[in-house]
Amino acid sequence: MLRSIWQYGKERIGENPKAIALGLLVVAVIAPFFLESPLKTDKRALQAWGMPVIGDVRDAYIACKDQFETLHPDVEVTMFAHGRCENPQKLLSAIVGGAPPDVLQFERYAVGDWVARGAFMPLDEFLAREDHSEFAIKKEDYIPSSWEQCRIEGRQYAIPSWTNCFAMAYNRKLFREAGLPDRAPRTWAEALEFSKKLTEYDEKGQLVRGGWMPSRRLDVFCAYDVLHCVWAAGYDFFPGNGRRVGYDAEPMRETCEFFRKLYDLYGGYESVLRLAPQEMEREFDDFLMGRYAMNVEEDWVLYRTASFAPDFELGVGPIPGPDGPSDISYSGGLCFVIPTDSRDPELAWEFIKYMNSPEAVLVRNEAWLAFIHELYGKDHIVYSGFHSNQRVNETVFADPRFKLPNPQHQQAAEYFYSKLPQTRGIRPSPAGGLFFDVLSRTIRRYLKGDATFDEAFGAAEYTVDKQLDDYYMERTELKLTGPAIFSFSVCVVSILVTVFAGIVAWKSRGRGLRKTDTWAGYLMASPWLFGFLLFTAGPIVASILLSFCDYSILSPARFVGLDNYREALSGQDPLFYRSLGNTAFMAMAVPLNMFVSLLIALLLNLNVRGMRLYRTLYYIPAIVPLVASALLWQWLFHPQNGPITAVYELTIGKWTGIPTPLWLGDAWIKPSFVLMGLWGAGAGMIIWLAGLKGIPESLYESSSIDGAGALSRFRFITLPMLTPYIFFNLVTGIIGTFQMFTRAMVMTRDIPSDSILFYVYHLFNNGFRYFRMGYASAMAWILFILVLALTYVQVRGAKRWVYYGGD
Amino acid sequence: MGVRKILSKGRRTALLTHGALIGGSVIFLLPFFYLVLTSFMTQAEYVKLESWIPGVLRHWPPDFAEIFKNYGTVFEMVPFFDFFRNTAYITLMSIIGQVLSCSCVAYAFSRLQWPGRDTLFLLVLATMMLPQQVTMIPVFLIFRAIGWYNTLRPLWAPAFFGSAFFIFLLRQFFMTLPKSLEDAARIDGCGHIRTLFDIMLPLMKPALAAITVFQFMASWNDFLGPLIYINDDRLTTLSVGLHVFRSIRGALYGEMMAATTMMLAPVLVVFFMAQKYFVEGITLTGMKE
Repeated sequence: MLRSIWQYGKERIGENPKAIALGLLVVAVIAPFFLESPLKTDKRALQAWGMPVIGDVRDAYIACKDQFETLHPDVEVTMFAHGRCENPQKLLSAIVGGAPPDVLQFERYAVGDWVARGAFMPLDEFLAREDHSEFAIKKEDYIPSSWEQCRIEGRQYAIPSWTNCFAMAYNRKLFREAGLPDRAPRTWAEALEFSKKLTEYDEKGQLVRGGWMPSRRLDVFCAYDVLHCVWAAGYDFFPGNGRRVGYDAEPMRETCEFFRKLYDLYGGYESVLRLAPQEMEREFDDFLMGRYAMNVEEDWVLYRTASFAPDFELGVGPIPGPDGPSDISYSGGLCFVIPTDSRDPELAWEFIKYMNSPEAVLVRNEAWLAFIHELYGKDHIVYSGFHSNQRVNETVFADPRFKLPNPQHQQAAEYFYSKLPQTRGIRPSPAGGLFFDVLSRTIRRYLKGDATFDEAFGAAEYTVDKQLDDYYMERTELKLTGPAIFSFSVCVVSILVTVFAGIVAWKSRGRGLRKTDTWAGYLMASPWLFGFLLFTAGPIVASILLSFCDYSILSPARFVGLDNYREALSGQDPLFYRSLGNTAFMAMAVPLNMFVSLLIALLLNLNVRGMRLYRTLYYIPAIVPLVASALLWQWLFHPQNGPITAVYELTIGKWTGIPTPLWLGDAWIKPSFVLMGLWGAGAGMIIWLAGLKGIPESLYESSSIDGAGALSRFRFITLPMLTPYIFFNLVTGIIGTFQMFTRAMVMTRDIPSDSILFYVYHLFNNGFRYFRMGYASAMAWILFILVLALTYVQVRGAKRWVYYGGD
Repeated sequence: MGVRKILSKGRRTALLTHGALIGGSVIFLLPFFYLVLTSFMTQAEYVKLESWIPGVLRHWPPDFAEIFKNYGTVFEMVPFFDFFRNTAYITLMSIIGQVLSCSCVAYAFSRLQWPGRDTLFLLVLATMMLPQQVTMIPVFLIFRAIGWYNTLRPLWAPAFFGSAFFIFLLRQFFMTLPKSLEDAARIDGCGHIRTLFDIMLPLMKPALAAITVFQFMASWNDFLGPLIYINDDRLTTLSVGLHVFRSIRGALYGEMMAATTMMLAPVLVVFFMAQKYFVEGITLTGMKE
């Protein structure tokens, strides 16, 4: 065998100088990269993650890094933008792999989740030290709520950094035109009355402007609106010892009913979605465009007005409460933490001290401003945002360079500034991430009218409480550590391999190995066999084991028996069947997608000039990155200005009088997803083309001699010859649909609708965001069995209709 | 008369074909158009939906520095060339790996008779069905244990072990080739390797081109892999690098679209070139049975 390879290579190269040239080229390209590895340095190294060294603040953070290195000449800092909650698998894998960052800037709301699993170290020891340097961190400098959000069971686990603050922001111009006083409404009743006066409909009866639309946004901001109103009514979540969440309470009900009343003014949730589709909010700012006249906005609204609408007439005031204005604002933001396995906590602490100092923030802002000036011109400004360290805010506020040019905006900034000390955070808990997700999902369900208050909030409370129970209750002493899982997997894999080898040997005994191609077969399949044994078999066995455990990845697994499977299959997790149903819907669209891509492929298989160009054009949509195409589709489907809406209104809408569907609303979003998939049919086309080109010309030649027409040629030659590919596309298409992940993740960021909560995305959320890898593994195995059954049916059926020309 | 009729009929068909092709490409290109247009827009423009055509394109004579401003900004904001080099390297290595290993493995699974083959092939299919999210962490630990963390190797080395999707695809292709091919090769005294590389692979060009294109797309757009294995800006890839134009605080769409356009261009070139092999097709001369 080896000799034949050698022989083959020798002959081939001997006769083909091009092959040598190509080989050398490949080696030349590869060689330098074998040396690739991070630069080795003899300095003290510090890995800092969650530092946005990218985009328009890149220079700003590099300036901070440079100054820190000047202050500590023996240190080299590496900054990296990732590591935050948005992609938790990054930090998770780094921590279990024993290579965490030395210091990390992280979301405050999730600190509780990670601390509960032992990811970060307490910082009390550092804080207790005598420190007279200018960078010293003193509790009294910090905003109390930010500081408290980093305190868990009496210990300080994080030092808060950037923060925010909310207030009722209103459009002064619209208020004036509606004859309202120049101030924010003070009570819920007044907010209702103001909103009534501000609401406008056009002649067709469509909403064109609204007043206050709380929880209108689909992202986490919709939870903040609830928090404000519930707090204004004097209520707190996580009552008592914090081991239970209290969603289902009277103030909550009152808040929800108040929201409902406001929505009734606007003709319901759908009508609001049509007017101001949340997903465009950040970029196509509905507030600045006057589609609604007031909203509880974050101080970041000043960045938006400064960048996009410098003349916007902005007013701010306290948030209305049931009986009077409330001064309590939610405050979230970032903080610095030191992972438990940080290689140099001392240095990390120095870094935190520096980054949180007024000096560092000035360095950052100056570099940022310089960059913006260079890029967009001298008249642009930066809105620095608020820091948890009040000394930083004082310094920035005293600096004329960071004053907002519009006096109304500057006034608003001062208002926000004055409210900072009264902000409040959510008590840190092991279910912090889940708390916000569930709260926003629930309030959306309620406002859409999908569920009554009791249904929606009862189910929500159960979900969060369950995770708290899982965390606080020691149910079993049987714990599985990493090495145990590893050795178990290795043993199982070795046993299976031995058994398999035994069966194969026994079955083929006596037949003599020569007759069949046993050695050649195993040798040629060996790349896959080795890959499977090295990278796939072990992890698969481990995942079976973990599916019977409660496993957070960060701490040892606890054996829980069949609980995970029971939770999924019994419908205790209401989203399990929902996500499965959504995914099944998409799987049903696979044949449609195959049909369209086959049509395109047939068209592109014709012999006309310029075919290479046509093919490239049709292929383009398949390669547009999902992040970009998600944005494109939101624009195409926009209920007010989108081209698809425009075409619909000109044609079907005009003929039938049916109002334009809300394409990205709950009812239509899945069909819209199918359409997006069709647009990317170019990828499937490639396989069809390969198949079409694989049909021997001779078959067509003989048939045209027989006088067969185009249609009968397709029916009797093309179609039968394509059956292996139809089979392939069907099987892989269905498997692929069941695993649809990236598109779901990207789209869900903008449109967090339960209608596009697909199976693997739900699995991912459980595994990596809610620390339920055991449950995620169980979900994976349920999916596996399901898809295996489906594939089995297809393979069995295939014997009847798939024709392999080679046999 | 007859000649004229045939000519006009041929012409009519060609015209119809072109018409259909152009009509279709307009639909397929429209969103892409928007992408490229946005890449020329300023922040103020893409906030307003009515600005269909970027302001800079309406001026005459055009100011090229102004038009391509977002493109310049991309280079200032991210080390685009580093990203590009890393991505290109991973992609190239992955393609080499997949083509070599998958053609071998698929040959074994389709043209050779060996005990255990069908069971193992089911296993190949089964590996596609388990979501990679659950095996991600254990695989990460393996690569970390052999010291490949924060290198590009975990991103391309697995390609040399083949992937189930491609093995399946090539197997389907192998199955359609006539059995007489390798019988003839066997009679001529060819071993399996020779049969595969000299007889089979030249016929497989369309399928190999297809897996090249697929692997190119997969590596070029891979997000999760580089995200968890790479910690160093110098080793980051395009897909991860470009993600940062979009943050929780809104996005720099003009810049993001400019970067996306630059990221797409090489893919289109590769696809355009790979088509040579689609066009060639298979002519089994002398194989008529």
